[in-house]
Parts: sequence; C-alpha cells; structure tokens
Amino acid sequence: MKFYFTCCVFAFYTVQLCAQNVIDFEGFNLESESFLNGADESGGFSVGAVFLPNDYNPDFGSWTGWAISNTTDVTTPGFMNQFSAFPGSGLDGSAHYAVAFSYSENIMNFTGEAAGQPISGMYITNSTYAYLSMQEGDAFAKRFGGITGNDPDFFLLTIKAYSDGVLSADSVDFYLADFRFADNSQDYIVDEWTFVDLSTLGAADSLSFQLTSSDVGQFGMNTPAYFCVDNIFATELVSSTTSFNSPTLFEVFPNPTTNYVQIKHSAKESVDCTIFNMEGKLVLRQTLGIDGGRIDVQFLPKGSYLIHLQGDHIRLARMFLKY
Amino acid sequence: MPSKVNPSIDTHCYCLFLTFNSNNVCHSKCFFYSLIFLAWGTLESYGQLLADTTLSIPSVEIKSTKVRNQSVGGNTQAWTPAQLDRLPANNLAELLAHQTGTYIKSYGLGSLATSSVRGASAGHTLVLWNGLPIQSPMLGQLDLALLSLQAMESVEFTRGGNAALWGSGAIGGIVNLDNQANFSQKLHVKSNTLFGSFGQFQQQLDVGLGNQKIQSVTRLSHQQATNDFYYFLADGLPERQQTNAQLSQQSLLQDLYWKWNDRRQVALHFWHQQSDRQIPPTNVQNRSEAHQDDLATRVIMEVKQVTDRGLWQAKMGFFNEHLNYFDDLILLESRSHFQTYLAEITGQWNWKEQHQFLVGNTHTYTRAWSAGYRENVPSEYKSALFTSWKYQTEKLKTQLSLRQEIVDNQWVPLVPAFGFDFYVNPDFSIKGKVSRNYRLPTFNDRFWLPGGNPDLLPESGWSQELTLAKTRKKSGLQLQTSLTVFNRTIDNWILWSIREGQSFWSANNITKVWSRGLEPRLTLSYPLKNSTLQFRGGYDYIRSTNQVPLDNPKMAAGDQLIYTPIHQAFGTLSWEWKGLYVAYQHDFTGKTDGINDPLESFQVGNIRLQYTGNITKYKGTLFLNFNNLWDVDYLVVERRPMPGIHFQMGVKVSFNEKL
Repeated sequence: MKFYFTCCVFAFYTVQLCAQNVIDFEGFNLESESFLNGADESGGFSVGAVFLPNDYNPDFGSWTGWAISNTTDVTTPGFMNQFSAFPGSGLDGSAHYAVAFSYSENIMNFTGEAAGQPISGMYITNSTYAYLSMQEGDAFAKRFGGITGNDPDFFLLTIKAYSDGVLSADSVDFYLADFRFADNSQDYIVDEWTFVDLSTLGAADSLSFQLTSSDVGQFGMNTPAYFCVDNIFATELVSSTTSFNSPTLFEVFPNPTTNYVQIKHSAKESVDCTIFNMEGKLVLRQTLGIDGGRIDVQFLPKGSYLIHLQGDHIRLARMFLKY
Repeated sequence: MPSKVNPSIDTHCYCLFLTFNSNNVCHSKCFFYSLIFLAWGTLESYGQLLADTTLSIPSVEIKSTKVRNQSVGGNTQAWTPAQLDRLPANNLAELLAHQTGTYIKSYGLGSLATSSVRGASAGHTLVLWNGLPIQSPMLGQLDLALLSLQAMESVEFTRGGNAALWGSGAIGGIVNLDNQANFSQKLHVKSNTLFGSFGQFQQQLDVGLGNQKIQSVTRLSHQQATNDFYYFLADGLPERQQTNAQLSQQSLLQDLYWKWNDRRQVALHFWHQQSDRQIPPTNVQNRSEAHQDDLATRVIMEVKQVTDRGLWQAKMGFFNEHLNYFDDLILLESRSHFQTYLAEITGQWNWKEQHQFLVGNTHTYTRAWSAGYRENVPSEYKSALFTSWKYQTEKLKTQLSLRQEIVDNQWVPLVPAFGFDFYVNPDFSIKGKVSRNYRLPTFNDRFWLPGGNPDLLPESGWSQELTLAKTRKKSGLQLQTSLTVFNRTIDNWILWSIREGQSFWSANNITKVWSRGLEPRLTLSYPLKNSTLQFRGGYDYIRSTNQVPLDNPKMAAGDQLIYTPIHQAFGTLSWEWKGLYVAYQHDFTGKTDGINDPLESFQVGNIRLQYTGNITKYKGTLFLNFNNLWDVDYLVVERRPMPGIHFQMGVKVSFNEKL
C-alpha cells in the first residue's frame, strides 16, 4: 500500500516526465546469486549517467558504498547475507539492484548532462540483513518495538542533494521502518520496493544518503546500515539501460475525470495498465496498445487513483482524480 | 572465611608463608625460612620450627608460597579447598563476584563472564595457572565462567597490578590458580554431586594415590545445564523462557608429583577441558542458534630445587586451545585456535636474612589460526627478564622489581615497581605500592581482518595504592578493618570502534583512562558458645573515566567507562556450629552504563546451608544453596536477562582426604 501512496506523491510532483530515463542495473548480467562488491578496485559502478562509488579495501576484503547484486535470499539473517534485497529480487521481479552500505554518508553521483538536473525519484527497499535484524533482533541489534513492542523505533533514510558542492537544506526522509505509531498495528518495516519521490530536492549533482536508527549505542548505530535501490528516475539522462526519446512519454487526460481516462504513451509497445486505489488495492487491469487507449472508470468510486504502466521498457506511474 | 590456618594440616601447602611471630607481625627470619622451604620435600625437617612460629592470621591477607608470588604492598585474598568447599560458587567468576567485590560482567547463567577490577577492562585481569598465564592471546582475556574451582587446590586473587613480576595484562588484578602436592596423602577419593534448577547437574570425582615420593591426583568432572529459566520482561507481559542456553562441560585434570629427593621436586600438570555452550538470544531477539565450543589442553612441567641459599624453579608449558563459534541461523562458522609454548626459569637467593633477590627469565612463543587473520598463521615471540630485590626487617618490608620485555624484536618500556609493608605496631600496618603496568595488543587487535592494527602500541601506565589495616581483639571479638586507596592511569588504551572514514571496526590506541577509588573492608568474628559468627564485607568506590573526548565510542572526557559501576558492596554473614554452616551473602551493584542503555542498580542475596559429618575415614557434606534469594529481576549486561531465585543442592563424599 505504501508503495502506491509513494507513487501517487511521485505522480503529483512529476507533472512532466518527458525525456525521463529509468536507470536500472540489468545491464550487469551477473551470474545468478552473485554480487559485485568492488573487489576489482574500480572505485564504483557506472550505470548510464549514474556513478555509484565503492570503497573496497583489498587488505581487509571489506567494502563500503555501493554494490550490485542479484542474490535472492530473503530468509537468512545476518551479515553473511548482506547483498540481498528483502523483496527477493529487483523491482517487479527484475534480477539486479544496487545495495548501499555505510554507517556514514553514502553518495550517488550524476554524470554528463544528468549532473545538475532534478531527480524524480527511485525505488528503495530494505536489505534482508536489515529487515530481519529489525524484525527479529540479533546479537547486536534490537527487535524493533523492543520488549513490549511499544518502543518508538525507526530506521530512517535521509536523502539530500549536492548542487555545486553545496548540500541542500531540504531533505527527503524515507522510513525503512517506523514503529512510532501509537497504534502498534501501524508499525511497519518496508518489505517491498517503494518509490521515493526526490523531486523536491531540485537540481542535484549527487545525492547524499544517510541512515539513522533509534537503536543506537555508544559505538554507533546497531541496526545494519544497509538499503537497496533500483530504477532511478532521472531527467534528461543518456542511459545505457532504458530510455525514451519521445517528448511525450505518458499522458493521462482528462484529469480530473468522471467517466473515462485517455492514455497516451510512447513506449511503442503494448503495455500492461493497472489502476490502484489509495489503499493500494488493484481495481482495474487492462492491456493498452502501442499508442495507448481509453479506460472506462465510471464504475470507480470517487477519489484519487494511480495508473501504472508496465512494459518491456517502461515502468511509469500517474495519478488521476475521479469525481 | 575462616580466620585460622591450622599448621598441622597445612605444612605442605600453606603454612610456610603464614609465619607470624607471637605479636602477629610478620617476622623477617620466618618469612625467609618459609621461602627457602618452598620445596615440599624439605618440610618434614622444618615442620616443627614452622609450627612453633605459625599463628592464626586473617585469612584474607595471606602471603604467597610461590617463588615469584611475593608482591609486597598489595592486597591478596586466598582460598584453600576447604574454604572453597563451603562457598556457593562453582567457578572463578562467581567466586570473585561474591567474595571480592569484583565486578563480573556476566552474560547470563552459564554464559560468558569477564571481570573488571578497579575499573580496568577484562583483559586487565591476568589469570595464572600454576604460575603461567592462561589468557587467550587472541582475545587477551579469559572466560571466568569456564574455570571450575573444584579443579584447584588454591586460588589467590590480588587486587592491583604487578606487571613488573607477571608481565602483560597484570594491570587490574591477578588470579593465581594452583595445584599442589600433598605427600602425606595415600589413597583418597572425593566425589561431588550437584543438582539444581534449570537442569543443572554436576558430577566430579577426584582420586588421589601416592606415597611420600610420588603422588597422583586425577580429577574428572562433568556438568550440564539447560538454563531454561523464565525471566521478567515487563509489567503486563508474560515471563519469557530462556532458550538456546544449554551448557555441557567436561574436564580432566591430572597432577603427577615426584619428590626426587628432599630438595628437588618434579611436577606435571595436565588439564583438558571441553565446553559446549549455546548462546541464548537477548531479550530483544526472537531466537538464537549460536553456540560456542571451547577446547583447551594445558600442560605444565615444573622442577623446583632448594639450595642452601635459595630456591630455583624451572617451568615449561604448552597450551593448545580451540574456540569455535557457530551460528547456524546466520550461516556463520568461526574457528580459531592457538598454541602457546612457555619456558621460564626463576632463581631466588637470600643474603643476610634481610635481603632476597629474585631473577627470572621467560620465553613465550604463540601461534594462532583464524580465517579472520591477515596472515596465515601469525606468531609472536616474547622474552622477558625480571628481577626483584626484597629487603625486610621486623617492621618493614620493601620490594623493588624491574622487568624488561621484548616482543617480536620490539622493546616494551622498562617496567618498575616498588612496594612496602610497614607494621607500625602489632595491630596496625601501612602498605603501599607504585608500579608501572602494561598490556600488549592481542592477536585479534593486531591481525584481525578487517580492523587489526599491526602498529598498535601497548597499553601502559602507572598505578599507586596505599592500604591502612587495623586489627582489634576484645572479649573474643576480632575486628579487622582496612582501607585501600588507589590511583591508576592507562595510556594508549585500545578500543575497537569505527573511525572516521571507515566502514569497519578497527583497533586503535585512542584514549587514556584514569581510575581511582576507595576499598574499605571489614571482617568481624565473634565466637559464641561452641560456634562462630562472622561478618565480612566491603565496599568499592571506583571512578574510572575516559580522559580523551571521543566520537566513536561516544564518550566525553570525564565520562565513567561503560560497565563500570561507581558503587559496589558485598557482605557475607556466616554462622558455624559443629558441622553446620550457614552463610548469607548479599551483593549490591550500583547503576552503570551499558553500550546502549543505562543499567539499574541491583541487589542479590544468596544463602548456603551446609552440614558436614565424619564417619571414620569418610567425610560427607550436604549442602543447599538458594541463589537470588529475593527473586530480583536484574541485568548485569544489557539485554541479557539473569535468572530469578534458583537452587542448588548436592552431596560431597570423601574418603581419607587430608586437606
């Protein structure tokens, strides 16, 4: 549900997604259940116009920064399983994703024409290591909620933008786990890929990611400092992965609407169109042709809805209002 | 603690160093004699002399038998097997916690237990077995819960450091575990069976056989426990049962003694110990499948030779230990292993009765195996030369010691120490000690990957202590009081932490720690009709503060170290009537900080009921312990629950045993 709420927010703020690129990590073509942790000492990973720094220490065999992975273990707790995303795959079942690990600031750089441009957002989720640590506790970190389940624990990812070397005052907070609710039934640990809207950060040469947790001791944060990223939505990027050259990528009109919405896209392929209500429930599914199509929404109750397009080369979302 | 030592049964082990004149003041001539006569074989010829000069003394202030264990100016407590037999303590951790006021960082019943003496770290308590250090060179410390008291004939604990004589790690305190021969024994058998709460079961069998030339003592022991106690979580929540907390431990200790002649003795000690322990989850962890296997084989061979003017002693030791940690849940398997070879020779000469000189040389070679190390098999070679000069008169005893150690061709700073005992009058004494102490980085500190730092410096610093002791006797009431004040600084304190720009933990010399405190002690004995009532207690005020502001770990200058309570107190009230012995002990541990949260202060009481009877050559003892009598919910280590009230009961039967 939270995934689609996030997508709705994203859709509101990204009025124009024209010439958007989706940076994913499928181009790495790793063998199954493997990872790259920078052991080649290349200093990071270039994916289209994104550079993910990696600091590998050959003496210690340790790494920090970013890794690329396609491991799928969602059951093994502990650091031996530090490269797995908890959903068990990349976004929507894709194989590859990026894993971030650092107890201090983690940086994502944008290169070429993408540098200095606004970033729309990206999909983020928990690593299996962090998720199971928060869910069950481990020898060092507590089970979130504590003994009673009432501890107001949280695992927070704070994202800021660097522009011309200056760190933005604005930030986007994304709670990878939030147990601060008075009603414990609302407590959650993010367990699926969730779109995080970063458009409010404005232009960015790079992004700063910082993890904080309520479970912190004298020696720092106890919660494993990991999170995973897939499908980075950047503007005007020249990507080696997925790109759209059409000036009109995805249009939904009329919006607001009463009876139907007309959808246009430039994917040049048939796409799977799904509509979700604000509770995250799937209310309609329809296949659209290469130019789009018309969807009858008369039967839907009044309210806000999310349209999601999924094709071989696109994965986009828009929001519309039914009244 | 009993206040008397009977020379008639102790001539082989203890009375040698309990040589006080009729004024209860240590007599210099007697002390010399006692050191000279250390070799057990010579005792017969001098027994009468010693018996004539040995009187009862406070049991908590015992001078040592060993060649090197002659620290002047320090505070030493010692326990004989008879004394250990009546304590509700099965291992060294429990003994130190309840009888000395030492802060024991226990992770739970049957789990890891380490010590903090005078605000020092776990690696600052040196543990010796028959005079050789048995600390893990990889960890720099020892799990005190694994050291069973039943395997030892003598336990001594000295507060304060003495690195000049004992080397690395002798900063906070020194524990000496000894096995000693008794050539008056023939066949003797001792069996000890214990049952207790949480599936606890212990069985020990000691068999001794020998004559006046050869002695053999074999000790077999087995203990097991499920430790599945229920513990309090929070108001309104049901208690939770501890899981994955089983313990199984077996040991074999074999001592062989050969009295070559009246002046020479050869001893061989073999100690094999195996422990399998599950590691329980914390109270904020759903489950644990971790377990740890410890396997230790230790062998020491020693030769003692008495000469006309002194005594020399040669020792060789070989320690082979495995520590294997497994966590099936997180697919972790960590195996480590080390071998240590030790050789040591010490000589002691006496000159004009007032002077005693000691010279010793030790060599230690260690190899260690761990997949986590940067080198395949890192090794370390240490050699040390140490010496001391002791001067004593009737009222004054002084000792000046010096040690120079070299480690892998690197010189460790010269380590001096000076101590004195001054007997102002028979009832009042002043003693003090100034020493430089150090601790070498461990193998993990140096070689662990990542984070091991081969450039680490030894931790080192100075310590001072002063003790005023007063004894009073009136109408049968015997009062012993003492007050010790100490001060210690340790520079280049090694901490593992995440440094700026690093993503992994690493070992660094990053701070300085200043420890100081007060240690008042009181022993009160009152003979009632056919019985004895005794109270013994103490209080520790310890400030042990970090002196360098740090970001990680987050500590400001002046902050008290974590797991170091400022206030601690302990007391034991005992009553003995014929074979009946009842003791209640009560411990108070002040609040302290853990890594994540503060830990509340707590008080725990234990009681022991014991009855001992003799039938011909058989002696039987029945005992019953109730631990945590008041069923207090408490934590020593955060997130690691301790059990509520629980019991132990057992029976000890011995045949022909002479203590």
